[in-house]
Amino acid sequence: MTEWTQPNTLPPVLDALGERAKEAISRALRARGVSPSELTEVRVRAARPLSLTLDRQNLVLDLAFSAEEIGETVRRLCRGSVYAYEDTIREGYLPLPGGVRCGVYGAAYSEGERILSLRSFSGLVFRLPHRIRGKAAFPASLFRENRRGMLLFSPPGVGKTTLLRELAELLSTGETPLRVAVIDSRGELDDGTFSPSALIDLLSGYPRGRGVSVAVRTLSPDLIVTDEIGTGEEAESLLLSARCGVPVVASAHAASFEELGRSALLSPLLSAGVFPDLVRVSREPGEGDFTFETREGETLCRL
Amino acid sequence: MSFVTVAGGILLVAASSVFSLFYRRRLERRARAAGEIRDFFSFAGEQIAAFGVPLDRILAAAPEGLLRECGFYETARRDPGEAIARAVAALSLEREDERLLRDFFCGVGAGFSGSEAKRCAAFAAEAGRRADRLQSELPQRKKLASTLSFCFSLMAILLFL
Repeated sequence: MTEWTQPNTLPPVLDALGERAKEAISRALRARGVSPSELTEVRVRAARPLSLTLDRQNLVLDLAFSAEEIGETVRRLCRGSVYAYEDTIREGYLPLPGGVRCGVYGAAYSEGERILSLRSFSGLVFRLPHRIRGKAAFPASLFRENRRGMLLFSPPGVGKTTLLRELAELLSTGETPLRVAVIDSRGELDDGTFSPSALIDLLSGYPRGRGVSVAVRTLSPDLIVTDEIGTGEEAESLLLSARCGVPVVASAHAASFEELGRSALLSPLLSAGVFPDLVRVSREPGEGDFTFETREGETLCRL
Repeated sequence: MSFVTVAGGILLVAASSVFSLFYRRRLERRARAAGEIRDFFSFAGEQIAAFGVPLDRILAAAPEGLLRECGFYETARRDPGEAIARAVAALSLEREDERLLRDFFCGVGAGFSGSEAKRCAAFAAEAGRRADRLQSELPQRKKLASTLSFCFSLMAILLFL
């Protein structure tokens, strides 16, 4: 089984949710005999029960938040200034310290495809970061061997961000450390636990496209690590990086190689050769081990 | 007329004059504080609309003046309720000023910048009306305080005599 460890990110989340939720979550974990470090998600929905995810197994609690309480929680998370985070809220998330991913949604005022503001908040999803030790060894050795772009893909919730975090650290440390530029647009990759000796240049909060171009032009990295590719601009910036000879290791959402090839966003990158190495990552619920597969569907490694 | 009567009369006149002086200064400070509250709301609105500056940084950068001297902004960064109580005590704020500050801190920061800036502008407008009224009433109030003090002294002296 994979050794999962969780940085101390749960207490701030519990503080933000308030005493009632803190007690209910602690009680539920105790009743199940589960350690808080096994908790991967906390979901809060207006007028519906709060739920926890323990390694992709969902657990419903007997506690519900009102829309007003969710609004207050968002305000607390924004340290009393929701407007200071409106750009990221429009994008559907709040950047929290320690790599915690907080998805946020509600009732929006929009104009065409543009979200102007949210008139109320109706849900929060806290995804707690984890560290795994030694489980990114396969993608790390594949990169060291080929020194070319690599795309790790899987459906959501498998642990791509966790793997990327570990991969960045593995490649930037050791006997022959590489200079790794980490573009952490949403504050998810940096959970504050990177080794002090890691040769990581962390560009935190940069839009992915801008971060990649800054890294390519000014940081002279051996590789760029970035999380999920989500927009055309990000895809274009990765093309720029590939043309400059800097390999990119990134992640994407896709369930299969066929689905990946059909993606309007990713297929130009694949045909341009930005990611010669495609690695499908999978993991069964309740099972900590990752399975890595190549383009041909051959199981390369199970860790 | 005995020495004691004269001394008592002088003391009463001095006391009422000192009272009048302090009361007039208090009126001036109250009017000045009302103007500063309006300026703070305007400042907050500008900072939010133009730069999206978080509230704690707005409070840290708020203008100098009576509110800063009494520790209002510093305290408000951790506890707005305590800060308002402190300002009310130190600057003798009226209930209306206190209500304005409480309502402002109760809802500030819950929305996006557009609505927050409009909210600040509305508070600044209301605080501005109060500040203007206090400022315009200030000479009359000061005159009233002086007159009352003079009348009290006169009455006291007549009683002694």
